[in-house]
Amino acid sequence: MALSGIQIYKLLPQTNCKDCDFPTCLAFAMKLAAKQVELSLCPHVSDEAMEQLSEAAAPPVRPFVISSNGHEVKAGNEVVMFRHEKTFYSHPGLFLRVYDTESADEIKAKVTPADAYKVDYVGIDLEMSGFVIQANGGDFAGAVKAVREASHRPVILVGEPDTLKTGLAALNDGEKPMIGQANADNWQAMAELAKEYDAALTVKADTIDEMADLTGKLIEAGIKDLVLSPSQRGFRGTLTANTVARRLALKSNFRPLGYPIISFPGDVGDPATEVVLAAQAIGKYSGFIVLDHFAPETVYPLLVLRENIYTDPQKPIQVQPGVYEINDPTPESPVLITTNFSITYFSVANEVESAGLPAWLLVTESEGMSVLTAWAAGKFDAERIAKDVKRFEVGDKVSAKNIVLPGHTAVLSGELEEELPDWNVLVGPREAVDLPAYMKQAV
Amino acid sequence: MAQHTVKFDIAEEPIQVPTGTLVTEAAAKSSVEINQPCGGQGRCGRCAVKVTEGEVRRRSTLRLSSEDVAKGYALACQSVIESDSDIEVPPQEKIERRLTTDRTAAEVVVPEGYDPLQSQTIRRLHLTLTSPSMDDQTDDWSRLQTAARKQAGVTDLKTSLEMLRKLGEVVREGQWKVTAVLNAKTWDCPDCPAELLDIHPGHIPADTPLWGAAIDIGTTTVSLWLTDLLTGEVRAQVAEYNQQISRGEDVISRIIFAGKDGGDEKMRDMVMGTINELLERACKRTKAQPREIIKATVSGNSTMMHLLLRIPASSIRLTPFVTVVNHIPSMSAKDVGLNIHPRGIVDCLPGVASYVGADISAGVLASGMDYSQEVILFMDVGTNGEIVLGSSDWLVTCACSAGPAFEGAGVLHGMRATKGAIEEVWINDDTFDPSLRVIGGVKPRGLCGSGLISLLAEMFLTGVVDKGGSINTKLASPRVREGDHGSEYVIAWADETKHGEDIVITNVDVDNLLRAKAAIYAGFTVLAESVGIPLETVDQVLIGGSFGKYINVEKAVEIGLLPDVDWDRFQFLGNTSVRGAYLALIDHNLRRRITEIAARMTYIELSADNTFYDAFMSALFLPHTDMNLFPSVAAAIEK
Repeated sequence: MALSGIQIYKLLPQTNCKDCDFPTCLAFAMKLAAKQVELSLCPHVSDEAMEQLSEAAAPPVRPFVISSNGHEVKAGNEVVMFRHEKTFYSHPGLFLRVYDTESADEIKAKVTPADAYKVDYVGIDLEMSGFVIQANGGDFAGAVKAVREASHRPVILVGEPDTLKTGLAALNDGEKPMIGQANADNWQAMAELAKEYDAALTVKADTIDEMADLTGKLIEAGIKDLVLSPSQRGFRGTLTANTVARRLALKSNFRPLGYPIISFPGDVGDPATEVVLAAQAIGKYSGFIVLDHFAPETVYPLLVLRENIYTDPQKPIQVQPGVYEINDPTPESPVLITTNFSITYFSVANEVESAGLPAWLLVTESEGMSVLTAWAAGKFDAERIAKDVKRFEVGDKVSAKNIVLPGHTAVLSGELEEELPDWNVLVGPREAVDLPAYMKQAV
Repeated sequence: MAQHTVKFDIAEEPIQVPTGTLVTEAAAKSSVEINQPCGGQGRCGRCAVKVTEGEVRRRSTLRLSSEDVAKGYALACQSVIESDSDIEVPPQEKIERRLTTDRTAAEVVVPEGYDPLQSQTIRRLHLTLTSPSMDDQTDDWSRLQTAARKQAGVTDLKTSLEMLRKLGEVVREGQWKVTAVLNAKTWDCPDCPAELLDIHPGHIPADTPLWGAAIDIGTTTVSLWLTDLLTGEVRAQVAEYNQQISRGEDVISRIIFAGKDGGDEKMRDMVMGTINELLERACKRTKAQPREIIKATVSGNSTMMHLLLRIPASSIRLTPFVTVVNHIPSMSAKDVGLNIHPRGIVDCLPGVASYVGADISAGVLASGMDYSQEVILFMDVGTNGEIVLGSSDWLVTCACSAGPAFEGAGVLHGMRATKGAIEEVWINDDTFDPSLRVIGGVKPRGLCGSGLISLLAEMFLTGVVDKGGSINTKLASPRVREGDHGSEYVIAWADETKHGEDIVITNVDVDNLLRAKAAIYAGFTVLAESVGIPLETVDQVLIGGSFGKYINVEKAVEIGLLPDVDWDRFQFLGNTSVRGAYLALIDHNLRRRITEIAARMTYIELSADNTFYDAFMSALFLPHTDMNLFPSVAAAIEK
């Protein structure tokens, strides 16, 4: 049962010692209640309180990373069922699967382009996360080596314990891989391996009850970083299994299912269906998604979808800073300045555009804040505006050199004149709706 | 750079300034006062001057009409001198004294059993020193130390060069009898040596007051209680508008002004001027001298505290909104520039965060909620609404920017609660005609905060506005009409008003009021949610600040400004900030308690996540989207 901030606070020392780097015990308790920090930050908590709190304080979906050679894939730590309730935290990783029955050259030919794939998407690098090597009766260690020769990214090794051992031995020191899949028959041997190689472990089961039973045993065996791998396949099965597991973890704080989930859209065979299944997995709770086909034209939309779902909806949506042309401006047209908060931008742009008035709209880098907020926060001042005027070479586009400040920031006019001595600085109206009238009269 | 001659009509002499000088800067150089209520941001339009000769360049003409500009008007803070000019400064709007600030003294009961020996850090001792002789050539200072030890039990005494310079003369003038004033057992160092603050020849009569001052620096009003530390009695209560208002009405404007060249000194001088004037006034009433005041305890919001001490305040305004200091060490009056005894102690109370300052720590102390077994909601509403929720177990606090709507700003016919302000409204639900109560019983000039709350509640209950705050334009009444600013409701016709113009409330005004009340209510909601306590279960709602005194609780609940709990759970406390300062002034145990309060209040930053925004959006209705939260209002609407 989740405890409230006050309930947790009553179990803390209440000394406000600040050793946890929070100003008061209550502030720390609230963070604990929100599952945003670990109880271990408090060095003074009593054993008795620790016992009562550790249950309540642990994140409902266990966070961990798998990593190799500087790359890492984070998973878990989710606290909501829907993005709009707060945000999703750990971007699901896309993994390309190879089989040990393929030759080293075949594997490299698959892995190399996937490893090199990189697209700049509004400042974010879209990339594949890693590779899965699946045992299928071939040379498993050879397959792992081939992957490692072509890529440094994290790997997931799938096979029976004895086979896995040969593959794990072929990995570099310091890697944290994932192995799979533990089931009712092999779980003890899998647990041993996971311990020995400090690997995360996938747990495969047909029903929720079996899954919980199995994770329970593995937790008892001392394995911490588990990954749920429901055996259901297809659209309906995956959706149901993933949703039920996540809901029990978040809503009922059911510990045995409080782990990231792995999905295998690649199992379906057909590349088109695989992409749609992967999209579903991105939307509904998978932390690791295994594909059998890599093609930029299908991976790109998946990665964009992932960015859209996993961006923080609490952060304002921003417009790319720059100079926007409205109604085919001429060198005589005025330069209007505003911030890069999307709603601010659209308010200004729409008013001017629908009035049919030509203008250059300079959108400054102001961290997605509206005019007054940005100004109050020091993100919209004369220096920053002048910097963007120069950065976007606004001066080369116009001859009239009339630049219009939002009326709310009339206070900036003097400083902006100093920053931009060869410009005529004007103060516009306070509301976008009054811009057309202002432009007709003053500019 | 070219120099120009500028002559202000009310200045003695013309002055020379270079091209590009702001008119406000030229005015300052000519010692001409031009009010800048927005701090020179070009927002308020109240610094307009008339240029009768020459030309100025107007960077902005916001708030001026084209006719105004044609007549020569310009905003002093937005216009620069570009030629020789003659400038007329219109009579500056005087800040009208509120009817309430200075005349109605708060009732102050000295805490029961007040004993200065137990509670006071300042002690005044009558000491009789042994006189020296050829046989006993002990130095004067050692004699004083010995007397203090033997006669008053003060074992450890420290002094200053200043005291040593006058010591010899004083002991001889008093023929080895002296009165010593010490500061000891301070809250931050009870075991430190006592400090000799002053020494007088002879034994001053024991009933001579030992003066201390409790000061609250409000953004709008500065209040001062002159107190006799020996009896704990408040002997004079005085209040005055903070002079800084002329350079910005809100803290943000003032921080900006202080950030300009020389602005910080100007701000410091203005508030110091206000305080020193209050000290003079209080002393005149009690026949005391300001330099007899030996200790001043200062409360106020974090910005006021920074500006008073000339500590740069800009980080308060910029994200992530931090102060330079919350817990300020005690200082000497000379260092601070306060016109009391130069060695007097200036003790600034501790704040919690940028927007929850010492005024709130002091308010919590004054309310006693930190010792309460019951859960108490404490609010101090001015331009900012600060809210504290808690009990002896825990305290959470937040600040919501309500804006100045309830202080009469941002509303077309809003005004402060002075003579001519409508303070209460009743609307007839058949005719939709209002009856009004006006402060001073004169013809109305506008509406003050309590009048606006009352009006909004009546408009809502009679259907003049709907739940969403839109004025019902289909109402069969000539009072509802389309005006220059959209739909409006006429409260008083031109022939009934002081200025001969209709007094109206517009849809824009209603929206502003809704936003202000929603911000405050959302603050309650977020605090209550943060600790998992339903708002309606709070045992008491305590309202501090001058705003609270005149609010009609019923109306405030009807518009959803205050939570819908039984009216007997509401209590108005008046200025809790100065009261807290007074308690800290007279009792070092309470002073320590304030530090504990400030340290244990948990500050919730409302802009850190979406909770506040969601709560705010839900509260943007009359009284709220969730009528279950307002059962008494739901019942009233049924009727």
